[in-house]
Amino acid sequence: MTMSRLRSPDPTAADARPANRTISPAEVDLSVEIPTRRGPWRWSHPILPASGTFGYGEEFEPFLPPGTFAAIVPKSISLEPRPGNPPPRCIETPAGLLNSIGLQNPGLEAFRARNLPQLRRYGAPIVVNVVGRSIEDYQQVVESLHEEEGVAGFELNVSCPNVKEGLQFGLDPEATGQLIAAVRSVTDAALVAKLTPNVTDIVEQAQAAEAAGADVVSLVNTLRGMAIDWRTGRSRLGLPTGGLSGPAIRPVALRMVYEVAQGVSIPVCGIGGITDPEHVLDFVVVGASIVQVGTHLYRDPACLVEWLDRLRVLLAAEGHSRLSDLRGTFRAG
Amino acid sequence: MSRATREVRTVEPSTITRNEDLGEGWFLLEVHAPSLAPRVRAGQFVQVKVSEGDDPLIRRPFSVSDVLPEPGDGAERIQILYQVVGPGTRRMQRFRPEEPVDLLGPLGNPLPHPEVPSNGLLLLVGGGIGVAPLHMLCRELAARADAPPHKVLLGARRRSLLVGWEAFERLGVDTEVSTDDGSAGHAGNVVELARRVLDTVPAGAAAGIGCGPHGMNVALRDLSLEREIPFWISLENYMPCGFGACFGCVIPTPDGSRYRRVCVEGPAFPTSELPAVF
Repeated sequence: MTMSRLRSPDPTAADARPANRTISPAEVDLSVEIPTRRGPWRWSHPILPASGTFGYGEEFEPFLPPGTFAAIVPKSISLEPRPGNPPPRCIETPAGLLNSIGLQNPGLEAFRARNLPQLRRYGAPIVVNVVGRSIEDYQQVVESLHEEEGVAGFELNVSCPNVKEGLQFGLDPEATGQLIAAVRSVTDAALVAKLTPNVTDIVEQAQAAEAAGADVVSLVNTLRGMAIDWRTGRSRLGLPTGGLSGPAIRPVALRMVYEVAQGVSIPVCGIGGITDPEHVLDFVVVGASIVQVGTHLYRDPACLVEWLDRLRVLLAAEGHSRLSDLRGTFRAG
Repeated sequence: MSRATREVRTVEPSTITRNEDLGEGWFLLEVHAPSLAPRVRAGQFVQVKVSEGDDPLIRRPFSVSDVLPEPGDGAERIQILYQVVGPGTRRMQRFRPEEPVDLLGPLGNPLPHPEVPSNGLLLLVGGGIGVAPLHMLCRELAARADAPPHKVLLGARRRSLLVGWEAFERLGVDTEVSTDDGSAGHAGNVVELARRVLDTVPAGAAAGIGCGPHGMNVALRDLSLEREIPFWISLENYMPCGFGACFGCVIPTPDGSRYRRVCVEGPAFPTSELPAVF
C-alpha cells in the first residue's frame, strides 16, 4: 500500500461539524442505504453480527430478538458439512481471542432445511456467509440459496485463516477477483467480499473484489496468530495457528478500513474489535457504511439494544442528526 | 438447545455479598442475584464478567455450588467457588462486597438425578473445583424425601486442598476423602477410592457423577465403562460464550466423526458418550 493511492481530502468539503443546533437523541437518524444489484438495502441502523460469532441466531434468542440486528450474518456455510478443527479451539490472549474453529457447519442442505426457516422468523434480512473449497462450491451454494425468501445476499468468506482453501483465494487479488466474478456470473444477488487482513496490501484485494462485481467489501477477518506453551513446545490450540479477534486488532482493522474506503467506490463494512458504540462511529468516520460486531457478543450478547440508544445520544451530543453525515469525515491533516 | 438455556437473561443488577479467601488460592464468591438464583439447577453454570475493560476480555464460567437460602423459588443468592489461576481470577480476587457484578446464566443443562435401588449407591466423585456442582446436587438431593442413597468422594493432593469438605459434612452427606500424601482419609487417588467403594455395592445398583481435573475425569470414565455403571462426567472446558454461539468448547464424539458443544449439550455427558481422549 502506498499512500499516493489514497485520495486527498477534498479541500472544498464542508467541515464535518454541523451548525450549532440542539439535536435530541430521538431525532437522530441511524439509517443506512447500501446499493446492490437487486436494489438497495435500507436498514434502520448499521450494525450486523459478524459471521461465526452469532451461531445461527437461535443461540441469541434468550438475550434479544435476533432481528434487532440490521441483518443477520449466520455462521459460514459450505456445500458439505464440516466437522471443524480439533480442540482446544480458543485461547484468550491480551485483549483478544485466538480461535481455530475451522468453519464447523452443518452444510448447505441442513442449513436450508433447519436453520434458514428459523432465521426467517427473526424478520431481519439474512446475509448468508459462504465458504468453499473451489469456485464451483461457492457458485453452487449461492445458486441454491439466492432465490430463497429472506436471503438478502451473500458474504463470501475468501479469508478464513484456519482453513487452507479460503485463505488461498483471499491472498491473491487475481484469485479473489476470479472467485467473485465466477459467483457474480451465476447471480444478481448482493455480494459482500469478506477480506483477510493477512496480506501485504488489502486495498488491492478490495479493488479486485469491486472490479469483479462485489457490492460491498467487509473487513477484516481475523489476524493469523499463535499462542504456545514454551515448556511443552506446543500450541495452546489444536492447530499451530489461529485467528485473532477482539479489541487487540481494532487499530489494524480501523487502518485497513480507512485505506480501503478510499481505494474503492463500493460501501465498506468495518469489522474488528468493536466493543463500544464509539468504536462504531470511529469506523464510520474512516469510511465504513456498516459494521459487524463479533467477539464482543460473547461478553455482552444483548448489547445492541443499548448501543442503538447510545449511538443516538453520542451523535446528538455532537450535533449530528444523521449517522450518514459522519461517514468518511476523517481528516488526515 | 435445552429449555433451561433459553430462559437465560443477564442479571442486572447483581451485587457481591461475600468474597471469602478459603486458603490455598481458593475463594468463595457469593452474589445477590434474585432473578437468576431461583432458576439455577445443579450442574448449571454462570459466566462472570471479570472486567469492564478490554482485558481480561472474555467472561469466566463457573459452576454454581449453592443457592441461598434454599434452592428453588425464593432463592436470592448464588455461590461459586474459584481458584486463582490467571488474570481473570486474579481480578475476581479483588471483588468486594457491595460491588456490582455482571453474571450471565444459568447456562448449560442440569445434572441428572440418577436413580438407584435402595441397596444401591449413587457415587458423587469430586476433585478440585469439581466439587462445586456436586455440592449443589447434594443440596437438591437433601430436599428430596425419596433421594437415592448417595455418597460423596473427594480427592486432593493434600488435606488443605480438600476444598468444600466441611460444606459436605455440614450438609450431613456421607463423605469420604482421599489425599495423595495420606494427610486425610484414604492415601491415594480418589478414583482408587471409588473403585473400592464400588466393590461394596451390588452389581447393577450403582450410578455416579464425577467432576474434577482432566486426569481424574478420564480415569472415572474408564472405571465406569469397565464396571458398566451409568456415570456422568461434568466438564469444565474453556468456554468463550457459554451459550452455543462460538463452537469453541467442543469435544469429539466417541467415533470422532463430529464435535459437540460442551456448553449447550453438556456440561455433563454420560461416559458412554465421551471419547477415550477428551
